[in-house]
Amino acid sequence: METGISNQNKTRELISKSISGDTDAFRMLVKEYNGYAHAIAYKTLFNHDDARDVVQESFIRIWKHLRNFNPEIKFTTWLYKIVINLCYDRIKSRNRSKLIFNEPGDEYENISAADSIEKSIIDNDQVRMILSFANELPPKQKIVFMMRDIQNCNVEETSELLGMSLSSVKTNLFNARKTIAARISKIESRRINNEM
Amino acid sequence: MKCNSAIKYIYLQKELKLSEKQQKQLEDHIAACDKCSMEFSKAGNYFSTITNLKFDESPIEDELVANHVTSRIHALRKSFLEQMIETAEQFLIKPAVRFAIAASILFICLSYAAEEYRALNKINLLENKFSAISNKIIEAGPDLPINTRDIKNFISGDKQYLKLPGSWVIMKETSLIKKIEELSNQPGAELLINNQNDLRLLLNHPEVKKIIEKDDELKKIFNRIILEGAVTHEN
Repeated sequence: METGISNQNKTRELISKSISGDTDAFRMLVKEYNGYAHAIAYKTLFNHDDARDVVQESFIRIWKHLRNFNPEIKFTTWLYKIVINLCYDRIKSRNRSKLIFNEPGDEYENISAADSIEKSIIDNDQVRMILSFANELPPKQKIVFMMRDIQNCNVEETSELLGMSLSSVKTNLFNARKTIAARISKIESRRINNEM
Repeated sequence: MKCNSAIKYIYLQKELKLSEKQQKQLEDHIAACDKCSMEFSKAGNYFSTITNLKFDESPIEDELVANHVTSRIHALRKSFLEQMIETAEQFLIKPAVRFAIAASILFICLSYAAEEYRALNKINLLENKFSAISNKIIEAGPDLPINTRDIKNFISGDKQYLKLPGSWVIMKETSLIKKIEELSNQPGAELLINNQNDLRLLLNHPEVKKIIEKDDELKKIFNRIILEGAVTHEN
């Protein structure tokens, strides 16, 4: 990770070597930033396999467009943008598949919301619970929620990275929060009833 | 403050950056409105849940991912031909290049069109001339020993000479030259020349020139013909 100037210089050096076709240098770059990219992808998709696929696809995309990399911006910013956009594409395609073919999605989507919620009450697995709620949101609301509330991006960054207007980000975030809050509230009341 | 605005402020408190006055209005509204108070409590629960979420540590698979990525990059490496095609495509994408290609194609097309137009004009001109001649001949009357079919045959090469009204005969240039060469080997043979074109060919023929050069009498006669402008001499 870029913790200092020396790391930035190392990254720049690896990028310039990769541009000239040095695959070993690019391999080092991948190893250097894989953890960072995986964390973003996982916190958006909540599935390690999907996150790994997105990370690989992101690095392939970076390799293809390395020549277009603007050295004035941080490499992590560029990587973040690519990973998030690929995650968003994946969320949208999952949503389409669900709508058209009624296909099951990832490991969590295979579980019905009710099952998942029951399990989360028992396990007190809040991540699982929030994920099952998030999976039921429309793609725009889901990605905005993931970026703002799970990854702590501010609204301006979210708007820029997703290419949405600020007002659209806020509206989607409001709807997502309100929906999830209502679901949490229901779960809480059920939990209280169960305890009684 | 209305409930709709209050709920919006509750959920987007940080994002909307409320002023102190708005904050006070919101607090007052929540205190006075049961519905919004309930929503405020839901939102509080939401934010505390989200803040306390603990995520699994991502399994670090640097080596695995790096292997996958590297093998895909190797597969992506293009052949020389593919690289050439890509370079050509990138070159062709440039607006200036595309404009130059389009202009060249347009220029070539226009040149062909102009050539075609000139050729068509020539054909029209020839057709008009031919039709004028044939009309004249047809108009000359049915007793003439010539018709349009003879003219066509003469032009197409089937006939070696064309008889015209009176004693005029037009011979094909090749057949006339052949005739001159035949006669040049036969002393005392005669060749009837009865049109200006054939006379010009005769005078320009090397064999005839030799004969004329040797014979002073002939020389005088032909010089007179040339001086009188009956024919043009190609010397």
